[in-house]
Parts: sequence; C-alpha cells; structure tokens
Amino acid sequence: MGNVPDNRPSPHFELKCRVDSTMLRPLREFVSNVARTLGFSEKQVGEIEICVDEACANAIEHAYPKTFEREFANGGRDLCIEVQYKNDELVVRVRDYGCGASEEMKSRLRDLNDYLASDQERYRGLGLYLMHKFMDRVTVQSSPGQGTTVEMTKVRK
Amino acid sequence: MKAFSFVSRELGDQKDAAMFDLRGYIDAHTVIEFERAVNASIDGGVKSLVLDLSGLSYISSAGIGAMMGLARKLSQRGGDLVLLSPTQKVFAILEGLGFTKIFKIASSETEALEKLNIKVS
Repeated sequence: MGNVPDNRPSPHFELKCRVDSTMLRPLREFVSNVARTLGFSEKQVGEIEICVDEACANAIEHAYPKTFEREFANGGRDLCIEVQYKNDELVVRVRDYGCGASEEMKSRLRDLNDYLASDQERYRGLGLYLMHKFMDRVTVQSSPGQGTTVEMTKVRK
Repeated sequence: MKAFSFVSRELGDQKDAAMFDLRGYIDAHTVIEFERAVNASIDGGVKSLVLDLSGLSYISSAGIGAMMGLARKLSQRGGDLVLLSPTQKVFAILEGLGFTKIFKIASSETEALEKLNIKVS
C-alpha cells in the first residue's frame, strides 16, 4: 500500500483585538473551544487555555508601555492570536506589535524554587515556566520595536 | 456569569478566621478584585482564611500568585490559608505546576477547620 494523502482540513484561525485585560476571557475560551472541537482531552484543553491566557496577559502587561507611541511610531496596540491544527498538533501564536523583549526576558524561565523564594507581596513571573510545563514546544521571537511572538505547540494525545 | 464575585463569613466562633466562597474566575483582569476583598478582611483582623474554590471555574498564574502572597501574609500574622474543594480543572492546574504540595487543600469544611486547628462547638 502506498502512502495515503492526508486530505483532512487543517483549521486555521486568526483573531486580532486591542490589548485589554477584559479580552483575556474571550481569547482563552476561543482557543479552548477550538481545541475541544478538535478532540483534545479536557485536561489538555485546560493546559492550553492557561498557556494562551499567560501569553496574552504578558503581552497586555509588557508589550505597550505608556511611552510606546513616543518610542515606536509603528501603529496601534494590537494583539493577534493565530491557531493552526495539522497532524495532531495545535499551534497557537500570540503576537503583539509592541516594544519587544530583551534577551534576558526571552530566556527567563523561572524555576519553581526561585519563584517560591521570591520576596514579593504578589508572586509573579510564572508565565514562561507554566508554558514550558504544559505545552510540548514553546518559542519566543522578539526584537526591540518589532513586537513579540510566542509560539506554543500542543500534541493531541 | 459575573467575572468574579465572593461571599464571606466568619468561621465558627472565631473572629479572626473567615471563609470566602469564590465564584467566577481569577485571571490578570479580576485578580485585583480578589486581592482587594481578602486584604480588606486581613486589615479587619482576620488571620486565617479558607477559600472555597468549588465555584471557581478558572485560575491563572495571577490568581495563584495572589494566593501565594496571601498565604505568606497570613503566615506572617500567625495564621494560615486553606483551599477548599477546588474544581477538577483548577486542581489539575495546581497539581500540574506543583502547587498541591505547597498549598493546604481540604475536601470538606470540617477538614479545612482541622487544618486551621479551629474547633467548632
């Protein structure tokens, strides 16, 4: 028998909105519903949901500082989510067009023990740790003034 | 569904212990409302808290971080924090990140009170 071509449709969605924390819920629920429809287990859907939420929350909090328009005259405060599915892999890209992240920020992956030892009233900085914990692959592309793209892949099991 | 709401009450005869019944979800948007509520309670003299999570549909790292900060604040005041009956979804997130070994978690109010060493007459 020869190879049978995979002719199943490969869903591809793209959403764009202004950065606003009230958008977190509809954005994470949109991606969750896509994953659920594609047959991911509820446990996996929950893991995808929180990772999308963290990536979006990071963009909302860090991508567009108050001085953004003065420093980078490249447009609005937008957030874009792209969802693709092919060969049992769900790929979610969370993209902002903001100030970009430094190398130090990109490589920041908190160890849980460092997190627990941090001396803060509100513990923060768990986002990347969480994404690496729950997703199969995570990459962060960013450069000053060009925005940040977080790409996360989850394999359906 | 409202994004976030809560109902609070005193625990047993204790004036310095309270139960918060949390509803909705805690993310980076609603976490401020959660912190405001529990901090007002602590400012009013509460040292120990039980957070009933049975009505909480979702929690992000912002909510987990706020609960970590709350546990530390209560501990510094000689009190404690117990999480009661998290939903399967919230428990899975806490467990996946290792927080079920860090937070005190109870499956009934009686067990929560035992963990706080509170006796109800």
